[in-house]
Amino acid sequence: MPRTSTIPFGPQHPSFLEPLHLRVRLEEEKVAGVDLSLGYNHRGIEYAMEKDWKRNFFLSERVCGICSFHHSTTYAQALEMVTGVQPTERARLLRTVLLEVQRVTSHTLALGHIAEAMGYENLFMHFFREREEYMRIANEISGNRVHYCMNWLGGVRRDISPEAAREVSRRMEASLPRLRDLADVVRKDSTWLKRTKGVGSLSKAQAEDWAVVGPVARASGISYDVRLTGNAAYSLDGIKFKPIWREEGDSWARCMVRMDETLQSVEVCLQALSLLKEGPVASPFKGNPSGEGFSRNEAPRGELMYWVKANGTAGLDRVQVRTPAFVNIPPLGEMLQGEQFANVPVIVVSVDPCICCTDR
Amino acid sequence: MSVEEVRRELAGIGPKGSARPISVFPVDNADGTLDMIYMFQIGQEVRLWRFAVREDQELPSISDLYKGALNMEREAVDLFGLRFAGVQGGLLLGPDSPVRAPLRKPRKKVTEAEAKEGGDA
Repeated sequence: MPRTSTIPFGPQHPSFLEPLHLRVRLEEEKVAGVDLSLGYNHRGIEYAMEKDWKRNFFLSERVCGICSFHHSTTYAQALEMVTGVQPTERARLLRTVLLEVQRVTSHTLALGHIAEAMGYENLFMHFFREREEYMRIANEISGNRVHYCMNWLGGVRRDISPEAAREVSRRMEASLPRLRDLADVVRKDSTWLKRTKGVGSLSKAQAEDWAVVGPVARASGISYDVRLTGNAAYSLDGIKFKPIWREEGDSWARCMVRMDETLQSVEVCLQALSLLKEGPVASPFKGNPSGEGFSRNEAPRGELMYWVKANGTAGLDRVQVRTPAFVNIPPLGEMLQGEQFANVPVIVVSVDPCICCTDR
Repeated sequence: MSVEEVRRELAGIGPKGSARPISVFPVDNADGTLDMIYMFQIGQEVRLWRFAVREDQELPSISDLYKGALNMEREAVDLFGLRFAGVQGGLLLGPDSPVRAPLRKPRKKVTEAEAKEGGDA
């Protein structure tokens, strides 16, 4: 008869600082079951967003500091669907650049975080050094490192000069060899492989059942990426894009998808910067929106959806935010089943769970 | 339209991977009813099913079709006070929380004339 015990993981845990609580039931050293608790930090942002549709361009960024621009862009696109205002071509491309810059900062953070969770401190520092370069690039374009405050109905609030665009491109190209070196570590390093290969698997059928999105889904054989379709499709702006996906379904596959997407994001940024043409960065709009609309974007953790109901006043009747972490965290129970307890931190972090997004 | 019809349509679409729940969420109409919106991705398209439900009505769950829908329903239980058969709240609000259904709207005030008009109808 195996010895059983129950061990809490979080809501405060050294390997994962956000308030997520897992009640892990063990048989000897193996995970026999997991109960998940959320809601430690729910802020009621959907409620706050009903007060003033203009303020929401900035409030939506406060849902999450790691994918803030994805939130405000998706909100802006939902309102653009409500009002029929079309963002200018230059604004769409500038949004694309910042969306992909933020994806690089998010993915390098996630990969550095996994390195730290497995005790690979040196690699953590390498990932964060590259992340810092993209934080500075975001600052160069928007004037801010975390909350860019760039979006507005019909476009963006700030332009970039041709000299700045050239300098940003140069720095991105210079970072590519360093990022490729890091990709080699994730792909081949024996420590990394031992801790992630075959660990925390999620099959394609499980991924479909749990409706997971983003790199978690794409690591489990689901090729879907929001950047292919809808009003956020990159092909509308002439950008070549192909989703990256794998079939292994384990923690390593999730890391590899993020690593390859990081390199791809740099390429997409370079394409978008090369396509920039002179022109306005926002379309005009007066009055208050009225009607319903929704938009989706591929945030770093997966599909992000905003649904907005406007009533012709400064307030809104309802804003629904479906974040990717909200659907990616629940299947952790199935990923952890039967795993060694020592692997729990790596598996949890490999999902890149964002409690800010989940407890919005 | 009802949840049963949504379930029937989903069952007719094909194997599980053919449809994916994006979100299941209510919109409060402030008159004792809520609009339930079931947003799914089917192929490359987004499909919305929408219908009104009474605030005290118990709805069938779709979490037996898609486990991913369970927390969407639990969120609606916590934030809007809705009831789904076999679905417990407690995802975002604890059992001892003094807050109940925080996203519900205050009921619209019905004027005497409106009440009379409604009664006449």
